[in-house]
Amino acid sequence: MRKEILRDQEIIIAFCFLVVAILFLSGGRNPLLQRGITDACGACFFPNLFAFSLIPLSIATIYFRIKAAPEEKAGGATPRKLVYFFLLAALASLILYLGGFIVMGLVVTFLLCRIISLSVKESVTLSVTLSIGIYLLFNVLLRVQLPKGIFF
Amino acid sequence: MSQLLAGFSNFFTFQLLFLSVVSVLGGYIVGFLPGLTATMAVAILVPLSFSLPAEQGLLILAAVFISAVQGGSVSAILWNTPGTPASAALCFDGYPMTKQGKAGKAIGLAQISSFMGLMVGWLFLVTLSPAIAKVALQFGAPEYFSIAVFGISIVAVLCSDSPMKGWISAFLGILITTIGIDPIDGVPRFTFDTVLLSGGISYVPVLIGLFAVSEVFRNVKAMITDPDFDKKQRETQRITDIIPTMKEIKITFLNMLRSSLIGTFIGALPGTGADIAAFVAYGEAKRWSKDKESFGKGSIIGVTAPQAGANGVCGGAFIPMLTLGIPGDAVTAIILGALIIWGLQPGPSLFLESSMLVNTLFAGFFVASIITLVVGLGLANVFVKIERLPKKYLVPCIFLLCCVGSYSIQNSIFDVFVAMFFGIAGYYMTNLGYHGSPFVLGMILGPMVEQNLRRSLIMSNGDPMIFLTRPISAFFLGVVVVSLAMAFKKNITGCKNS
Repeated sequence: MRKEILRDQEIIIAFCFLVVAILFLSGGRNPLLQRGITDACGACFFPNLFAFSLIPLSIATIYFRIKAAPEEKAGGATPRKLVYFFLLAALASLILYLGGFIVMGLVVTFLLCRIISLSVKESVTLSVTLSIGIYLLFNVLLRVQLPKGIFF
Repeated sequence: MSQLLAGFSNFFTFQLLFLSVVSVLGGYIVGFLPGLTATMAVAILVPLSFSLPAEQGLLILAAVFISAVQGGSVSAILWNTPGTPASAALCFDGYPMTKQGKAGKAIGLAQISSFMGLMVGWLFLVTLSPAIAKVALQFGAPEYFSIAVFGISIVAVLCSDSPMKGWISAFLGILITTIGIDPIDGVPRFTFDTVLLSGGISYVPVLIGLFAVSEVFRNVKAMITDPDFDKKQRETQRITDIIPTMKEIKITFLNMLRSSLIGTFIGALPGTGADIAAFVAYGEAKRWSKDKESFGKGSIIGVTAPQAGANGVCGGAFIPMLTLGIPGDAVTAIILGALIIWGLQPGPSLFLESSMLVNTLFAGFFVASIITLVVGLGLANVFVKIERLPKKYLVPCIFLLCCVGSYSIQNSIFDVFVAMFFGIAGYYMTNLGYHGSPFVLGMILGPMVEQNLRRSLIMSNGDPMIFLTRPISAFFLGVVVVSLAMAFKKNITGCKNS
């Protein structure tokens, strides 16, 4: 039973919200924020108000979830390939920083295509076409300065 | 009236018509692309417009403004990716309509409601500008605070099925906006002493993450778990009628009118914008609807309300700018700057000294609205055909567009990370019944609530009674209390019945 509770996604996410609220409350203890310079409230009043309100709501969510019938399972398992895609998405900004837009586009699109089971030929064609096409559209036509990467 | 007719006759030259068509097409495409906002498009065009006479330059800027807000609706409907922040509220019902194979219908309705919003805004701009500007000037910090609280109270309506989760989402959204430099005291808050967080978290990458990136994740999951997903999807997708039927127009007409009025009024309030108007219009549409259950599942009213509200802002935002020299939103702030560079002083004198210019602008606004409608309906078929492309090719394209869109807002790689983070968070939150809409609402209205709350308390030396002694503020707070009490009562009754 305890294992099931600890694995329940709804309880995990509500617990995360609780942690977020506590983080904001602890951040609000900064003396610089507590002393109002221009107004009596101070800079921490508003975030503290909502962080405080978030705590009972998160606890209530956890409580109701534990009380709920065990067959009411929320969420569902995350496939391994999707977890790889999460990692890829999280790394996209790092690749963008290091290699610039074209390199990021090539790498991320190719790997994403492989994750969704496209053939190597299709993946290469799609990644090259999309990366260069979007680069030309934004950088050349719409003058959006896309990152070139620190190695270029 | 005769001056307006003179404006129309001045407008109808080949050059001005051609410029209008080109600007509308350009603005529409910019709006369609995620991350490129109407503000950005107008800002880019300002230096280019200086090489033209004032009336031509102004017309280009106005046409781009109108069409970019409308163009954002298409990507929101087709891919759950708001092209502009103003189209975020359109994702709630527009995308479910696409999933049901009614993308054409949703785009058609969005175009018609946009046109309605533009026309109502235009009508008020032409006829009641001075009166509305006078009312808008009565609004101080306490009134803005009350309106923002009223906007946030929509959460009770938006998430009537799971109010607790709705409020959690909204509070999280509000908390995220407090990261960065404090707007009143100027001290850094929750930045972990990093430069990256000192500017705060921009809501466009969050929007892209919550709606578009999370949808990419959901599609990828479906493709992984069901190899025939793409085939099944295309079988359900068919090109439906784009032009709405008279019955649909009849059902949505009153709602479109109300949303347009809301948009025009919010647009006329300085410091607001189309994003706020779209959410308020959506919330009000749901609040007044007899069929609340259909919202979020592809309701046609849920499509027309935010779009009419967002486009109503276009006309409304010009009212304080032209009559008082106070911009209604970020776009009109840029146009105001352009006016001054052209040597024109906005305010009552503008109507006397440059009457022909103002009336040509009014005529241009009207014609550009019609061109935008024609372009929107004409291109709808093309956009729907794009949606019918295999998902396995579309998903990588949307993912790359999300990366570029979130980057291009502030040219910041950190924003790409933010979009990805909120994409993953949004994926799990939506799976577990936490809606993205209250989160975004909290992010958009949170800063408005905080700044005006603290400004009001400074004005009153810390006395909270300032919110109740001012009639407009007291009225809006009263409406908030009544609507929250009604939502609470409904929930209690629902719990007892079940």
